[in-house]
Amino acid sequence: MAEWGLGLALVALAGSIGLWLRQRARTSELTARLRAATVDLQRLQQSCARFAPATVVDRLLTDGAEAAAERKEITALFADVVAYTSLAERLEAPVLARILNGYYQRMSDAISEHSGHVSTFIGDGILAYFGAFEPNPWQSDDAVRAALAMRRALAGYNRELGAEGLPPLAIGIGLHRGMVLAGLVGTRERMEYACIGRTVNVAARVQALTRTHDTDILLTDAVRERLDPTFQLAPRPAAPIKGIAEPIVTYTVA
Amino acid sequence: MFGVIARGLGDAAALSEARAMLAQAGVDTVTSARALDHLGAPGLTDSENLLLGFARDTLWYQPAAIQRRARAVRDRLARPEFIEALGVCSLANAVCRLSAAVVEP
Repeated sequence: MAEWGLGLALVALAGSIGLWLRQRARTSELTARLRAATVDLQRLQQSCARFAPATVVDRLLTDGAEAAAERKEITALFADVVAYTSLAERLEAPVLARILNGYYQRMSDAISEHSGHVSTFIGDGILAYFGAFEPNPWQSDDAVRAALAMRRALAGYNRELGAEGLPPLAIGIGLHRGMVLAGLVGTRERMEYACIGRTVNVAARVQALTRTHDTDILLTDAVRERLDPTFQLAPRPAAPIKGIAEPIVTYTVA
Repeated sequence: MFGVIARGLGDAAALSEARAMLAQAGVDTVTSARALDHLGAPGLTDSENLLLGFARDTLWYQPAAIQRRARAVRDRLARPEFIEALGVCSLANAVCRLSAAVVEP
């Protein structure tokens, strides 16, 4: 009787060990698959973070694309190359592409260095936002410092171009601050993170005013009101811009 | 630094505490407002202004920006001061993030 009980116990023990081993193998397999999925997800989030803020990517993953838009206050910076068309007509395409890529890189670095995010390159233009990806109470200061850094970077780049016998670039930069709708916009096939609203349009039109006022950087009152008083500004005469009833006063910065 | 992090994270309760602490420490309201609004003020020392910028760069846990600024700060502070600055930023980031969870809006 005792031997029979011992045998039964051994069978039960062997069975338990077998079950435990099988369970352990299955747990290991599931853990490995979970780790692989986590790595894939992290890689996906890192890739997405190049195109949209991490918070938006998180909301996108949990709530879907429609939920990832919100109203927020940003400062928009719009930069454009002066007389780009005539430059494009004078230079061979590969040379022009090399010059533009060098320009984009230097301008993007100046913007990133001051907590800005380049949204898009529009032909020879650059649209960047401050305060769109993360809340940024210092966005006016950042945007103006970025514009000044772009001015310095372009001066250095023009010296390099001159050494190669290439023509210098000149840019106009417009800055405006205000509310926008920020989020993912587009179609099911193609979406991008963008800020929509008058703020962005005004920044682009203020950039165009740099030609009228013969300067390279112009900012609006909305930027000036929140700006560090140590910046040296000079007002320019009020000028009309499309979409705004009254002529607007802009300021250059030294 | 605590005030900069509170302001950057939009933590009104911590920002109010920071303003009170600055006043207790003898910093006038013009200087403290300027420092918090623009990450620097004429009434502060070079090191203090430098630390405000460093505190801001710790807000969003971007290692490259934090390391770049930390190296610049390290070269201009004594070692104990630098370690204290790192500790203050770490603590302020934790406190301000946690306070958002426990303080009623």
